[in-house]
Amino acid sequence: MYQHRLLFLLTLSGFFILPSLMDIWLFGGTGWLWPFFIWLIIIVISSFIAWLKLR
Amino acid sequence: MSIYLLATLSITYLLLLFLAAYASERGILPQRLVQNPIIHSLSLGVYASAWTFYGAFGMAAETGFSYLVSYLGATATFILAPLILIPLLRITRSYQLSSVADLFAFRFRSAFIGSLITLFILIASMPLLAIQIQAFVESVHVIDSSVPRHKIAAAFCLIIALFSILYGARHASLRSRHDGLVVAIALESIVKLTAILTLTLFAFIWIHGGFSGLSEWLSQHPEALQNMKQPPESGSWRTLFIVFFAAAFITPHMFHLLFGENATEKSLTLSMIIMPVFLLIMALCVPILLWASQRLGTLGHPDFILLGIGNQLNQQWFGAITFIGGLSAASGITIVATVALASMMQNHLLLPIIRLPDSIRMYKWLLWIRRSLILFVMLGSYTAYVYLDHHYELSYLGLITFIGFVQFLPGVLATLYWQRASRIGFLSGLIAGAAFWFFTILLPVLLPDASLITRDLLDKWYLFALLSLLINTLTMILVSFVVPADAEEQDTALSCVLNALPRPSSFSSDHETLEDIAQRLSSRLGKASAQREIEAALALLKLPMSNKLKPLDLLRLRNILENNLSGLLGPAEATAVLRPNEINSKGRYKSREIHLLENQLENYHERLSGLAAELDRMRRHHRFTLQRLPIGVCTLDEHAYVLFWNEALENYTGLSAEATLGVNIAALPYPWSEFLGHFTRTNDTYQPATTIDIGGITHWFSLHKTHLDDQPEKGLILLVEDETEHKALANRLAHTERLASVGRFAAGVAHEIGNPVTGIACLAQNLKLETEDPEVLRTGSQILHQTSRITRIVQSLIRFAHTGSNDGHSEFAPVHLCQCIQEAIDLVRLDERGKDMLITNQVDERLYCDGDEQLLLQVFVNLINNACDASTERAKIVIDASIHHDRLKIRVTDEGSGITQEHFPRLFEPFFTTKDPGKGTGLGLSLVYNIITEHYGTIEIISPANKKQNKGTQVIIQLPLRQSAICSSVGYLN
Repeated sequence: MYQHRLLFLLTLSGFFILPSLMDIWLFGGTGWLWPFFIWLIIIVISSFIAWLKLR
Repeated sequence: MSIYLLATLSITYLLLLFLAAYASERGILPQRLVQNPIIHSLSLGVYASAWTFYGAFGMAAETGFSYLVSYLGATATFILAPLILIPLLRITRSYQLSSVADLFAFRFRSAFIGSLITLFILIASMPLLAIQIQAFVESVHVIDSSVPRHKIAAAFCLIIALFSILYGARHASLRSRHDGLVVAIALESIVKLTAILTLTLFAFIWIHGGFSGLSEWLSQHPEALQNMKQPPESGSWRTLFIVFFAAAFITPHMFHLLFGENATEKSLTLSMIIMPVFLLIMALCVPILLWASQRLGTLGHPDFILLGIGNQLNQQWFGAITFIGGLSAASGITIVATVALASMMQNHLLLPIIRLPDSIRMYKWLLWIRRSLILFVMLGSYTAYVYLDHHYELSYLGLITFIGFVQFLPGVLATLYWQRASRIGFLSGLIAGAAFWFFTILLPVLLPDASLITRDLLDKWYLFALLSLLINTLTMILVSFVVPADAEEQDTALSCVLNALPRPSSFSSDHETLEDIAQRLSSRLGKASAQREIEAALALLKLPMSNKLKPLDLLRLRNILENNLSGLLGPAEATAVLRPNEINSKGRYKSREIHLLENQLENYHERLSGLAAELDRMRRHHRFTLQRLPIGVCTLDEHAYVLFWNEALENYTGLSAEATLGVNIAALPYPWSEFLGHFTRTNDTYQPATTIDIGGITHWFSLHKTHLDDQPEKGLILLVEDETEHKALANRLAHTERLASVGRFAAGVAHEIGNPVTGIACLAQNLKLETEDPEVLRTGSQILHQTSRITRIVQSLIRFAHTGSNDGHSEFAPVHLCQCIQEAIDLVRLDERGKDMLITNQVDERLYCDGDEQLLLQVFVNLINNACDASTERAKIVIDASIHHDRLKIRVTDEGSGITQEHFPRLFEPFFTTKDPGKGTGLGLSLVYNIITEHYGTIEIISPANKKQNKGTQVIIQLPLRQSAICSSVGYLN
């Protein structure tokens, strides 16, 4: 669980301690598809992790 | 579109859902499909409520991409499933928890917490359900405003209540799966997605004219894209992100579907893929449809632009699809939330205060309570809608209630990651956070005049929300340090944190019986219901209905009962019913618990990581070592209950570890209770080999013990060593020593007697020559005869002594076996008794062996003589030989009287004879034994040789078949 705790804390800090990341994600970029594109990349990465877990 | 068309659409759609649920429950749909993890993952799409079809567009129009936070918050929850959802699933599944209130009541060991949280969630959920009703009512009203809103709302509530009762409250046990409900909600997710995709595709292709058309329009209307990408002035969206992140698993409908229904780790892992994709698609449709409505210049409330587009284009199907999509979104969350709330209220508000009927009606009674509660919840939702709708903006209220739900987030994280959180700490944090939220956010909205928060300050609601969360968390941490958790809470906290390893119940009474458990259950459930529950649990464990169950079986039974009752009455109630008068067992492991815990560690060891995994590997290594030791190891606790019983001890005693663990040493079957129990009570640490009769065979065991006085867990280690073989070997050695000493004695005696006997024989010879008196002559002959006899005995003794001493190794040469035996037969036939016997030599002519021919001749003469002595006249004596592996086996078989069993141990002893005095020296077989031993062979006697007639003796001599002998047997064929 130490690994999970660390990962969780890192993820939370990524979203909350660095809110500028979210700003760039939602309001940065040039086209209107930019937020969805980043979102899709995150989904692909998490899907890969999920697929590894299922395997 | 008329109201009748809408009603028909609604009823048809809901009927379709009914049919899908019915088909699942009845097995018409294949189970492989119904219980597929993908179906469960799809059912989680219930998160996309009526807000997805209506509110999202209003928010996108007002704040641009900020509308994405509701989707992104939920996406974060599902992406982090291994850190939050899956550990929660393990806890809820192991302890039969079906709601947030169950979770906290279990974690903090407090029924009061369960009741408080239920009340809080019930009140907070009313606006949430009211929003769904409002969305449905408004969507109908936009299409056809002829019917009064409250009537539409009432019809909606009634139909949803009916569906909830039929497919969410069919079984008394809360842990029974509602496959039909899950399939129906999954179908609704597919309908929602299909509906919005259809509308989007139409808008994208027909209204925008494809991607190029949309890009062109956006370039002509840059303000549309600017409005979308404009960050809001306040940072409220960040707070909303946390709010929706928490709402994705803490709200009652999400918790129920995530952890209560058909959930598996596989389905939650699949949801890491399915749900983010689902939400991405739903979110992607919003700007396309919003810009389509702006392009068309649609009027009306931004929340209902989809209906506006349909009206604008005069496309009834557009409006119909929007309506169906909105209906599926609103109905899904309403149904699941209602079922979940009814269960929570039953467990935490009603059952703790009311008495259950003592009969089979208990189960029906529980079911009807739940159904009534479903009606109550729908009535409450309807009332909330009617009252709140006229006074407040419901979407804003919905947001506020989501912020209320977030107050549980610190408690959930503490459950998973911080075992020091105490009951008082959690309650303090929750009350502090909720109070802050109430006074700074909710009260100003409900009663603006009574609140200190002005309108301007209320615009900073997101800061108050964050502050309330901070106050909640800090209060929980501080108070938990000041008022730490007690032993019970620590135990539960550990079980939640330790990768959700289900712990055995720590409520174990050494003296409890089945009757005690039944009595405790009866006091709560009534005699008949208690009996029924016990019988069901015993059947599940395949145990008999007996008051003499082993302690381990009793503990298993208690765990099953606790799990089953947890499903019926909730975990807090179940635990309270089954808790016995506690024995002071703080921090002390009980033997059954160790065994159960180790069994469960075996199942979970693959999930352990880091230090826990290392420790578990070490534990397994040590346990394996102890299990496989070639001596018996048994550990006892300070009250002499067995904690450990290894494989060697199982083999010695015939008692399995299952049968002995948790049993007092004095309660073991005879003779072990006496044998081991007596030793444990003495002060000796070693008991030399002692005999013990097991199944008629004598065994020897030595015992060692060590006290564990320096350990916190006092006890005893017993070592049991099987000395039976050692003893047998020692006995054989002693016997050989005895024979050797007799041999040495015999040699000495022979030398001492020989000389005087020779002298006597000479004098007797001289006497015969010196007289002619017949009397004297006869006496002289007798003296000579007797001295001759003494001489023969002396010579036998000397020969015996010489063969026994093994000095002067004989020269071995190939001996023709058949010839040697034939010569022996001829010698025996010289005697009177030998002549009458039918002695047959069946030895193969080709057989040879290495040895001393004269000594072997002596062996065969002695054996054949013995056979003749034991047989009657004209009896058969057969000598044959064969090769077995690398041994030459020679058998001398007679049909004589045989040898009794009592004589067997002494057959090869010198001077032992069963013949009458003077008939034998008792040295024959001893001589044979020594000669055969000298030839590196063995001798064995079987009597009776003929078991059917119970007569005869067979002497089997085995001589090694040496290389020379093999070559001989092949080479000497002529």
